Amino acid sequence: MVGHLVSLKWRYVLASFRRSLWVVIGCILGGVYALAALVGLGVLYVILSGTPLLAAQLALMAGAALCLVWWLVPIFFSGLDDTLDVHRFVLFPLDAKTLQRGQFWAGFIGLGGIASVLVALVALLGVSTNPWAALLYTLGAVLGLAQMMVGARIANGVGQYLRRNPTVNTLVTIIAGIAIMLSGFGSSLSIMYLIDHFDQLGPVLSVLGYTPLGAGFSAAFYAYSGQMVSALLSIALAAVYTGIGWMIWYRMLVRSMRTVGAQSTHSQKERAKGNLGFFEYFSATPTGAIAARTLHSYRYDMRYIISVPMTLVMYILFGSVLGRMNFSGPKSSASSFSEMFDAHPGGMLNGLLYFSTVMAAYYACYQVSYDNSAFSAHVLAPITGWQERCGRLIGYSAVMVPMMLLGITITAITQNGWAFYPVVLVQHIGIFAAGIGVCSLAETFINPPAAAPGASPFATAKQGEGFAKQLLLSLVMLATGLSGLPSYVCTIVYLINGQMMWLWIGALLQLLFGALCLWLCLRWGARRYDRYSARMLVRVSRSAS
Amino acid sequence: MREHHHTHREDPTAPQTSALHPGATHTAVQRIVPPVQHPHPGTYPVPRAPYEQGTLDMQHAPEQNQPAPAIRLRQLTKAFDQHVAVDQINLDIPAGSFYGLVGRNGAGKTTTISMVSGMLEPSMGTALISGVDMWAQPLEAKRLLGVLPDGVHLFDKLSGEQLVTYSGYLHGLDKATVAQRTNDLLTAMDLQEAAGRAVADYSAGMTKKIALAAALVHAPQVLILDEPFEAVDPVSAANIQDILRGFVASGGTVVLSSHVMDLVQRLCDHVAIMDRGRILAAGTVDQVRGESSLEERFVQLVGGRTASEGLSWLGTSSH
Repeated sequence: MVGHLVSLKWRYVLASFRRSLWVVIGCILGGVYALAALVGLGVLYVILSGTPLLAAQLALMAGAALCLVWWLVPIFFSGLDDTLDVHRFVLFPLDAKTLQRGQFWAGFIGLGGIASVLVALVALLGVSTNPWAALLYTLGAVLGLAQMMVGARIANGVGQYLRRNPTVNTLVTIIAGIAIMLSGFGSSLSIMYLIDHFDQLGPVLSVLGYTPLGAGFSAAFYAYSGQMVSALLSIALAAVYTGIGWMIWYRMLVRSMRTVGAQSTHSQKERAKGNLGFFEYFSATPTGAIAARTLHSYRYDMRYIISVPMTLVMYILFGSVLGRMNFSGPKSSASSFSEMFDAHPGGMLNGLLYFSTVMAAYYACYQVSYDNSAFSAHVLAPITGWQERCGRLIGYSAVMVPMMLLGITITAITQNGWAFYPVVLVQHIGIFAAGIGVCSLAETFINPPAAAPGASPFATAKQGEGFAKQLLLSLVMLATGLSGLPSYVCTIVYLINGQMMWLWIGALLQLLFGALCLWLCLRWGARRYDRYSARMLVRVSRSAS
Repeated sequence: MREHHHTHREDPTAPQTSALHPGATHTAVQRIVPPVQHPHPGTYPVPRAPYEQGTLDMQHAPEQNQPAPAIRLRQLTKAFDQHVAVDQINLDIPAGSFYGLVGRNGAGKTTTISMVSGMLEPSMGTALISGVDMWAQPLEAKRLLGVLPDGVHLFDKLSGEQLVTYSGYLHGLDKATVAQRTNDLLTAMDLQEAAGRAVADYSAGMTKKIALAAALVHAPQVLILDEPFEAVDPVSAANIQDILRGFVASGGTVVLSSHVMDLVQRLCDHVAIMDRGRILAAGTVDQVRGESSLEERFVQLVGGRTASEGLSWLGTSSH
């Protein structure tokens, strides 16, 4: 039976490739990343081959990082792959032990599982200078990989439990979204720090090697440190941790098999009758109603909510953090963002925030996608395109404009850029206006794939139209970015000649351009809605997962 | 002017792959018989399959001195790629009737309803709502129509009360009218206690009822319901039926699609049987079913019953 379950997972993985080209592409891209990481690790092991202790140190760190990723991801991102999830098997005569073993082995099928095993194998090669160390590492790593998988399943259960509370669910999702955004930046910083302090990590790793994170991958480290007893102890601890984890997981599985029907999503807080929420603050017109409903979605629907803090974090990341970073490089008149900022504060303040404002506008083209087939309520109603487009724009702007203002203000505070705050504000209001106009229009041509109603904001949306659609969406983002052209040009002129006047010219031009662009795009988009709202409905309903 | 072509089928009852293919794009369909252009009312040179003779005569009664039908379909067609989901159907739904549209899964009922309600562009043909062309004058037509679509999401983060309110505002009603009608509808649907709860937390029956309330808030002349009783418990279904009977009694028209023949026979006064994108029979329930039950008549027309020897291993305790 366990073999059946594992082969089911394998066939499911193969079937997903046949279902969508994008799964194949995603797998290839993921495989390339994994391969690059493996090659990088391999190169490091070759470099450290002369110092086996440092190689073993690297093996321990790599193993601990693997465990950390496998244990954190299920908590923050709607759980592991649910191919062999309990709810699929509850009607079959399958006991918890069998399902547990099946889930365990099936966890290694897939890119993540295969890559994790390969990381351990590469590490084994790296620490094989001494055969005894290699043997100890092998014993430990087998338990370490088992512990990694067991811990992931426990984390999955914990994550599902935590998400039952709406407030916790919101918080966890927001943290996950921010983590995704910062992952590249954060991991680069972490790697740079570890490389800089690699030879000082010994004491920390000595402790890590006894913890669940590191016990399975520390045997070689202790062996090369001359601590054979510690090496054996770490293997024993890995066995103990795995055993305890296995029992905890079993209990959780038994419990979840008994309560499958009760594992429904959390309920929203009930409102008093007569409480119309945002509808009370807008006019009783189609435009007002759509604006109110959009705001309501940004209050209660996680797929909308997540874009709000992510927008603010982008402003802080690019404006406040990046703007003050120093990086090593060839000596020049400005060898860091910090120095460049001091030399050209207005231009840098403007430039660092462009991407954030463009993205703040770009999210506007997801609204109809998020509606999914509920968009039928608009299509069935006697509303004009102008009412519909304006309503969405008002609702969206009511959320995003304050985020933009807050982000620019925080940047001005942290960068001490108050002298340029007014001109930068005006420029970015103009960029935002032009951007949302472009996206509002683009939405009537093409709808980005989005998670279905009720799904996690990180759920993979079905991608129906393939590469052509992705290309078009890239063009939409490019067009949104180019909508700030007057501002960009004038900022560059300012950076060249240092005359503040050019920033103000840019601000005025961008404001006028933004208003005109917004008006024209709204008019055009409204006409397209009037003619093609039914096609839009088919598109977004088709993309439902 | 759109020209569409249709592959002429020699045997209309021949097996045909399902034409309901929402994932496909709509394209022109090959046809041997000369295409019918945008028709004028009263002149429909419709090539009819032999089995349609007789029953369709009831549908094409003389049009003089007759009140305008609530819905008039002429040459309504929808093709997805090379599959014809709805094949040039002509249908008149009398005003004030309780009209059942029945057919198997995949017959084209939902596609037809989608075209009539403005949710799906037809490949060809017209749909008139009380004389107003849905695709030429959509705003006017949509004011007359209330629709309960099947299988679509609602804005379920809204509470029940908010959802009905939203629908009212979208239909241009003022605040006071919406508030009063919302209250009345919630009472009629027995959803007063759940008014403040998010629709996402409603049961299937409650969801249908609140969607029906949203479709009724603007007092439409014609109500189209796509599988309104699917997954609905008998008590809620009975309540909904009472509301619909009351609506028809006050002069409204209800079009109800279902594959449950018994329900349609009990509830409706007119019926159209649809299969493979075509109307096989239409008229009053008594005219269509004749001496048989509606279900028997449906099976007669549609065919496809296979004699089964049964599953010999089923029912024995062989484990």
